[in-house]
Amino acid sequence: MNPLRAAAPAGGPAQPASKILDPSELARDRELVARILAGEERAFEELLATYGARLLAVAARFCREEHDAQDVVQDAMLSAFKGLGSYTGDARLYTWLHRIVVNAALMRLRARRRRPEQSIEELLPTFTAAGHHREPPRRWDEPASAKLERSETRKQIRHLIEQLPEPFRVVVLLRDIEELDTAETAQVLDITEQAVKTRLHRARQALRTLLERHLTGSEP
Amino acid sequence: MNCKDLRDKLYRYFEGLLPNAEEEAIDRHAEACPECAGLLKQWSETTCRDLLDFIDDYVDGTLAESVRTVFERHLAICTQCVDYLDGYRKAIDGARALGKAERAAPPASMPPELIAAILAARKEKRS
Repeated sequence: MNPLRAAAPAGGPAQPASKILDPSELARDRELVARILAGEERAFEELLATYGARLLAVAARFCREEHDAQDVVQDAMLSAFKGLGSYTGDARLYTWLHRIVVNAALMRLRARRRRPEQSIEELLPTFTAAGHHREPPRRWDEPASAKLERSETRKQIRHLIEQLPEPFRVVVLLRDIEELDTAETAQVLDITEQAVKTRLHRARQALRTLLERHLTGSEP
Repeated sequence: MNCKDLRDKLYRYFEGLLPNAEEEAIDRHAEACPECAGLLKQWSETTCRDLLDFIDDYVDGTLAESVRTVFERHLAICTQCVDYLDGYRKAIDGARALGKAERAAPPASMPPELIAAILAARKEKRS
């Protein structure tokens, strides 16, 4: 057994600290929901006006086509309205709606998936029989890494994420872009937390490869 | 052969890429130098592939101290893994910075026709 495995203790890493909620914002959310449930027509319109644009932006991050994003938001809002009675008021209404939009977007992506899944293997590092890097990883110079902060480079990173095979693109969107935690990601993808970690790990390795090729000008 | 030469040739030594004479020189040096003998042992026990399995927990700072010590011992002798780790962090930071910027950006307004479609569909479902 290698020393890294031998040294690993039982049990996983500590859980992240829970998010702090503002009681007055929660009270406003509960009141809005109560008005919708009481049949106040304008209250639902208010919900759309308050959260609709942000939720559409979430859907657009998952869907490649604008009309798909709009359909996702429509489906999600209808299903939110139907299930509004189950909103407990323990979390922000936006958070609750966000999860519904994410679920609707994932359903849409599953329905859209037609072409055969592209393999990620070509983007993963390879090792010699002795376990060392076959291709020496390249270090990016400081100007290149400073570019990460610039908006045009952010656009490039968005473009590189879009190149990942679908299951890997989705896990990066959920964990690093939408900031769902591992348990939430496992729930929306209906896979185990370990599977989320493994998939994210491979996605990040692939993203590193794409970024290295982009920043060092070594794209094939 | 001195300690620095040995360090520079570690990768090629373990990959069998060195001429026999140089391999023998490394073995002879390690027999006389406990520090380099330890380095050879360490290099043979923990590989770059092993390190990759623990990289996420290392980056997140959730790696147990005992594992982190082994991880960092490998980093101290392997510039390839230092460079790999550096790029891996940048990939994560890049994705997270993108997420932060996209979430903070003011969203485009909700198209009125979409609002109308949702309200109409809702009415239809209720009736």
